[in-house]
Amino acid sequence: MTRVLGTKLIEYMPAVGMLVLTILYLATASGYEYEAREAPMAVGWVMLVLLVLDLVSRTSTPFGHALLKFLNPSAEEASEERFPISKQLSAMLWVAAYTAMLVFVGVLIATPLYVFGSMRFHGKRTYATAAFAAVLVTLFTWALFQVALRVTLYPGLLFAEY
Amino acid sequence: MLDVWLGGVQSLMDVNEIVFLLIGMSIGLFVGVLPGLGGTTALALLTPVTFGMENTEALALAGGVMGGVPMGGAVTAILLNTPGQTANAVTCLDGYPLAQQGKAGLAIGAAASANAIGGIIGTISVLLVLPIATNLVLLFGPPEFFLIAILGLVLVATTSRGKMLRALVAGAFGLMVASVGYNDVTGTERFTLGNEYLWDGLHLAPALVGLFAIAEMMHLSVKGGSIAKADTKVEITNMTAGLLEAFKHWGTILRGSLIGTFVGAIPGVGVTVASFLSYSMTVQASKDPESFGKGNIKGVIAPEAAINAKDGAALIPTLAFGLPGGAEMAVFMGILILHGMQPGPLMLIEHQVEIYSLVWALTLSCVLSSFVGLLFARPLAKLTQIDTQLLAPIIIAISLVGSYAIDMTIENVVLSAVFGVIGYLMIRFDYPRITLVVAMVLGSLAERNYHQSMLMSDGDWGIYLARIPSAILVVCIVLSLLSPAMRPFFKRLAARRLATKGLVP
Repeated sequence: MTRVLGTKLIEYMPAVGMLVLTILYLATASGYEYEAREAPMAVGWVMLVLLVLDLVSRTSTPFGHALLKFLNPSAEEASEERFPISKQLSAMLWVAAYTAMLVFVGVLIATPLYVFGSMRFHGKRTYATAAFAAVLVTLFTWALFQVALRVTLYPGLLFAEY
Repeated sequence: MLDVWLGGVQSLMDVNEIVFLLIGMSIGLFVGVLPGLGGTTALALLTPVTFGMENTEALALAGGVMGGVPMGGAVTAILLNTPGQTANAVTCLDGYPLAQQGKAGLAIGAAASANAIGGIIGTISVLLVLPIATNLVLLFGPPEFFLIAILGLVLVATTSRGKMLRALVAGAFGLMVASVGYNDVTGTERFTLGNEYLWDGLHLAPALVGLFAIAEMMHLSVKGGSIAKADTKVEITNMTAGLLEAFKHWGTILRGSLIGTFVGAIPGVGVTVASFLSYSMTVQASKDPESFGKGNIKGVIAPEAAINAKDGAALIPTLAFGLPGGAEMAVFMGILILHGMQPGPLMLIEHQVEIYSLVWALTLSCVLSSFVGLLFARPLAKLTQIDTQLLAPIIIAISLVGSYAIDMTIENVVLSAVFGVIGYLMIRFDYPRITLVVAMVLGSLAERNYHQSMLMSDGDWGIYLARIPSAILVVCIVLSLLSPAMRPFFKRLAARRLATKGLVP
């Protein structure tokens, strides 16, 4: 993987993402009246300074190491577990897919599909185990929320009556 | 005061409350044995479920969970060398060697006694301090509340063991998140992108479900495998002797409980510090320090007493000042807010019965979970063999549906999922989530009180030094900010003192 100043590019990603978000936040805040923008502007500028420090501390330069040692020493000592990016993305995508399914087709269709799909294809469990768990979780969800707590389960945008 | 304490007991002595307390305690024991779950995840998962409940029922459930978790963590720490919670890692040091020597029952029995007594001492501290805190907060005005919010943020960031910079980044992000929505002071709608759902700000409960329950499950599912691979075939005998053993070392229990109480009352320091501190002070006070780490029963009693005492004490800053001491308390605050109880001075006055019913629920759960933990030690240990690939989708599904159930809004589900991904990325890139949550909780409080202070003083910042309570708070903030720089100096000083006593080379 590409390295910048001795550090893998991906290690900078959260701080860079936050930097972009903070700039957008500051730009939006600057449009508000004085009292409404006072606190967000202060927070935004503090955040910018912190993010620059965070970015520098992630570099494998003498200054970066010194900064990390002073402000974030645990990161130097941490023997972090590293997992394949594909596996991490897969975990996030399954949650995103389940959320999308909940929104469009509702709880009673999305839940068994998600539990079955996630166990079978992400967790590599047998078809029987995945199917059994899918039925069980759906039944439990229905019994807990619809029956016990009297919450009308979301039918999904496609099946909503309005 | 006695009538309020008794009122709390009375409100808890209802069938529904007792049932919810027992359910909460069982869930606490269950999640306590599973590393990666813990009280925070359990409370986040249960937050939506409490929505339809009465206040005291919800608090009985939450108190049950918080009281049950430490005992679950102790059982697996002793039997499998797998601490359910980080704080239980200290229990492994002597608990597991005891189990290997065939004295698992003795260790579990002693841990159970220490848990129960620690919990009771923690409760006594709450009962003594809350009335004083009630009078103290009445002296506070907007400048003090603004400074308290800032102090809470600074304390949590500076005590995030070795992660101050990233804790501050997470805290600033939390303040940004807290500024979304309708602004009370100016009447302006901010950062809502025209979305009606965001007018009330980012809803705390679904965000917490995402940050803790979903993020932890994503993390477990990425790690894969079962939680513990150790053999669960351990003989458990002699528990009664263990129960009594703890009473023989009452000094250790008392010291551990007092350390837990003191540490618990300081926001942000965390239960792990309490258990390590209690253990190390017990070692230092011991006549045979060499026996620790090889199966000294005091090495089990000291951390366990501190862990449970800390839970009760952590309620003090949470309830009195709205300062959650840790992630578990932050999520618990989410439950309080969901039930219309805003932690802080008004809560101490308006919801006394609920507060004391919670305190008693927590105590009862500590005591009951110790006995239940003893009875079910072996099956509890077996729970760690659960396959994470089975557990994760089940918890994620229930969490997201629960998030919808909070107020039957599908946007909650999207918010939980987004915060689930944010939470996972925070775990992956080593940003502490607790500061984000504390900032989300305290952000609007800080801003509102800042504006009110400025209105009171016509924009003069001197108001923060003009009153004695606020001046004291300013000093506390400055000291907290300087503490990371001062820590190496104090460490060197302590090392020099130990060296002169000949305790270390």
